[in-house]
Amino acid sequence: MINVRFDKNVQLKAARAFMVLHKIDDLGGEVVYTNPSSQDIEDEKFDLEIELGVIINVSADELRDNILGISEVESVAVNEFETSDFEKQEKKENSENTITQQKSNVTVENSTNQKKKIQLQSVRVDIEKLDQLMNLMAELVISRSRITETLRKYEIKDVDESLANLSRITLDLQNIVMKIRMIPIAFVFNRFPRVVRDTAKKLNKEVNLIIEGEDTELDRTVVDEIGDPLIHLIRNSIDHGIEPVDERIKKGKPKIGTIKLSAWHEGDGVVISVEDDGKGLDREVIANKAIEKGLVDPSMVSTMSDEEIFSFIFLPGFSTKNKATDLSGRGVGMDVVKTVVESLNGSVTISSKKDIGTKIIIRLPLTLSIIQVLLVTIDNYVYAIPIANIDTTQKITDGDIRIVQGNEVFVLRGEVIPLIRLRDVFNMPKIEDSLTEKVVIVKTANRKYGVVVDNLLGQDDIVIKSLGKYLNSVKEFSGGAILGDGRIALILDITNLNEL
Amino acid sequence: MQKEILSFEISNQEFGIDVEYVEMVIEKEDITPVPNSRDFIEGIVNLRGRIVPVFDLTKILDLDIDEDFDFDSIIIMKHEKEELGILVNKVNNVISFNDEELDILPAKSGKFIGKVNGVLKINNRLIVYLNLEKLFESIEI
Repeated sequence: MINVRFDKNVQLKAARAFMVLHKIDDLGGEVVYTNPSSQDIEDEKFDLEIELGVIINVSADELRDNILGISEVESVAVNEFETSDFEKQEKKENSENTITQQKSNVTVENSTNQKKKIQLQSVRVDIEKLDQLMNLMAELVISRSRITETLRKYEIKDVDESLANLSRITLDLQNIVMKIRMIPIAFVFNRFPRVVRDTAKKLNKEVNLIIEGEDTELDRTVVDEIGDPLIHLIRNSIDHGIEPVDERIKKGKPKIGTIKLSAWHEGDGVVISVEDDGKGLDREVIANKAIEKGLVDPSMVSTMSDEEIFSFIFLPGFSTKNKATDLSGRGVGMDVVKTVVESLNGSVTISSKKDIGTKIIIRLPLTLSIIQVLLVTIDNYVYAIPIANIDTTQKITDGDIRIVQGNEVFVLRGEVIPLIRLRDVFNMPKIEDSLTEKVVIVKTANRKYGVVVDNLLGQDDIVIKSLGKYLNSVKEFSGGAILGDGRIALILDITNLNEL
Repeated sequence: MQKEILSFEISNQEFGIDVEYVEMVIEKEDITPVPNSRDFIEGIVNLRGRIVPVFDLTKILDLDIDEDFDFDSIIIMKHEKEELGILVNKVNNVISFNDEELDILPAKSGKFIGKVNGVLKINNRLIVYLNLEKLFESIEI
């Protein structure tokens, strides 16, 4: 039995108590009893003293010295149990045994509960602080490489090992900082099967939910914000979109309706689409409602595009349902969706065909997003090509290149691929003596082409940063990124390069 | 009205800008050129993890300088929440002066027109006091 008394000025009682328990564990001991309970110790619900029952194979003195070695422990009293004590207590304990056993069971459960809690624990941090952290991190890495350089210059070898260690730590740290902000959209998507099930059940409809691209990572703030709008869209799809079973059968559609929820990276943003195969938006109904509310002049309606008409549903208080249900139709919702998305600097568009379905596309920009890129060099400067755009890389010799209609092309596996020389695009001097060209074959939505570069450096995860308003007009680049050594890599905008 | 300007030199010509714009002065480091950007943009630098464009004032003000002219420092400024840098040779000091001491530039002195507030004469120094608002306006797209 140990009595540990902490210094009365102890700062973190729980942490100190934990250190005591840890020390006992290190010595091969097992804590079988605590007073107050482990839960209370963790919550700091104790005064200055804790009592521990320990089974341990070291002497009382050793145990005492070890525990006294922990700072802010004022005194430790260790009382060894004599065999006679046990005998004396045995009778008593026999009767208490069942109770203590139950007690210990409870504490065990408590501790496992506690562990589960810890696994799910998260801290909300101001994004600005993360930005600062990220920038400082980059600074740290650069300072490190400067130190390394200086040491190398003076041939100081003594610190090599610790420097290598520092490099490893900074690298890990950098990776963690980079990833802190990003979470897969699965965090919100995972809530949806249940939402769909419950809503469909309530409305007596049969709906199948397909989720795609749930591992698309996006900014934590965006993931936090986008959940409610998406839930709203899904409920809308089920309530307004998907028809009741008998109606679907009458229309010759599959009995079970489908809602497809997908997310993917596109350019420097993320696209989330909610698609259903329901009855679609009714242009007439929406237009009539808009006229009725005085939002639009009747004569204007016929000249408006579907999209313009559909966008009325984003206005506050606009509902085509005559009766509100507890799920939707109250006219609040789509406007909230739009507001939230726009507050994230995104946009919402609707496309819909009668009796075929509705597709709502949310585009969200990534002010801070990590993408995988291939780093290449042109004229000793580093450029980044998003991996998502890359088909393959290829070395081709001059002989493979042919001129078709004044453009350089080459044939890869039977496909004619046009070449773009970045040196030409960037008005840089040509290299004369190259017999083979390194080509990165990239793909855009509608075509493939080859980008000729000087050298391939390798793959890297980078943080996209905006180039600011003065460089927005340079369409060749979608942004920039700071590399590990402090250099800046410009990110090539593959779609725009193609159109230049 | 009392004003404070930071004076700096580009190729032996002294210029001044309002101190409110100035964030810091850094040594000139490696500038990454941005191909196909406008000609007065020298490139971008990594400023504590932020990407900041660096301007060549001589191109905006149409100053004649040698081909192999080398700058030494970058003045980092903030304008409408955007950071940007300008290349300079030497940063001198902060000067306080009264509005009335300012000589308004005669209208015919061509290229500076509309981009400067006037010329300051202080102890044999001639300082061209730049009007940054107008300067930025002139380069807006």
